[in-house]
Amino acid sequence: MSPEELMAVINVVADTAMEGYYWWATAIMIAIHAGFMMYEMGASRAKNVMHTAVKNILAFAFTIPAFFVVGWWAYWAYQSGNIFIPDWNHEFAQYYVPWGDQGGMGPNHQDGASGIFWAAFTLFAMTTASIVSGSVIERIKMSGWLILVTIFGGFIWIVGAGWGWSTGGWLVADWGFRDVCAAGVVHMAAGFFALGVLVNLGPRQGRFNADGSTNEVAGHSGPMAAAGLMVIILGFFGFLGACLIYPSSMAGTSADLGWINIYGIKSNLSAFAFNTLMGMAGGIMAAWWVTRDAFWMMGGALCGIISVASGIDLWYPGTAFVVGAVGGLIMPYCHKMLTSWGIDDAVGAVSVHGFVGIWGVMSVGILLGGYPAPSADIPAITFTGQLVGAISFFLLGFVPGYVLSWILNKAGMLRYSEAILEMGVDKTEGDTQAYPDFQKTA
Amino acid sequence: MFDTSPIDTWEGAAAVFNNAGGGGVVVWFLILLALMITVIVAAARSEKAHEREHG
Repeated sequence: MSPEELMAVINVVADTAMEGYYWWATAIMIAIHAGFMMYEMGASRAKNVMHTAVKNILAFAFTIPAFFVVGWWAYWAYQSGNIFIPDWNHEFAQYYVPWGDQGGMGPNHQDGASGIFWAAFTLFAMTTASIVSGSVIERIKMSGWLILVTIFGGFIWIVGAGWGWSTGGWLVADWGFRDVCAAGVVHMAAGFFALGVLVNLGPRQGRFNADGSTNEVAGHSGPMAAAGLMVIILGFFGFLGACLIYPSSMAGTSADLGWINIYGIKSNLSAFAFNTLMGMAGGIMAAWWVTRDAFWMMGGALCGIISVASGIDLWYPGTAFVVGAVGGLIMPYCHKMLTSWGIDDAVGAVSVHGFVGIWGVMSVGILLGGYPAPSADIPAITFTGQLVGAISFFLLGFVPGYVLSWILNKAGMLRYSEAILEMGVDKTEGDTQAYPDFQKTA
Repeated sequence: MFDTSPIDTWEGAAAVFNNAGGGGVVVWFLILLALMITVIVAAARSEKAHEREHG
């Protein structure tokens, strides 16, 4: 066998292995959504459980075609350094327009990369939808919800990915922004989109009293919520693994470079493994320490993972533990602050993903400043660069969330009537009951 | 026109998305969009009906 023939065989093996890697990473990511559904069902009262389930599953179904129609080409169209207006002429944006003539968005024997990368990003998109989902349980109308997740999961968040999750985006090229596993790109954008929606949606029925005092609205199943959280953590291993680029010719990387992160910087799964687990452990411990509450302790696990996400391939594991612990520590206080403002975030998503996402992004600026970029024309990590990124993702999430939900509210498509909320929203979605053998209805 | 399958041969590994940009692709694409909108409209109609019934 000649060297050329041997290289061809190696490339075929690497390319098919790459396909397999992202295929199974995508499959594992589905556990995020199974977990979020369990978590949110557990946090719902029995009369609203099936509505919560239907809401999550339909969000799943709507985000897929939305990301097919808009999201994937938009990601590439924001990699020319542009901020608002997509660059239609970007080579890959042209290739991935689903109604275009270049054939990037369909079966193609010569392209084994596009479909599986699209699938992985589609699951990232679904994650943004699932993050928002928990905040709004037990009172959001299905029609309004579907419009929100279609627009946010299909388009808005990916604008931020184009800005800060590619070497061509303006945040990276101009500011050296670094967010390897998407604390800002995914978590902050989704968390603050949820906040924008919550301002207009209002609280769950019975959450606040007329004098401004609060009532705890206990979910119907703590065990279901706890199990859901563990399933989410399983899914995040798929998510984080898919944030690495597999070494293969079809992925556009050279075999001798090995794994690279989304900025083209040499990395590996080993670094991700150290810091994911250490950050998660720190988040759980700290949240349990400051709350003594099972529900918030579970949220602490996500806080730990999100806290270390931006610099996941750079931390010393002991540092990752502490950075994760800080995330678990601040989360309950952020939630109390929101509640004091009259915001009812049913599962703490704004705190866990939004505020802790800020910490994840800024911890890199504070502790990893000066770390070099992959090429000389991209700035190194700086506090200022991370701050510009954090402000950008806050605005990218909050402003559309507020404006869209305001419009939906005016159109009567956001919140169920108080009579239906009293009855239980399961009655509006196929008249289903989660536990018909022993469930009472109002 | 409605045959938009990209595969027209299993010979070798040369088959590509050869109907990309064709009229059929656009039609199926528009049907996809219409279906998404229809489901949302149906949900909104159902919610309105329940609000009329229950207040």
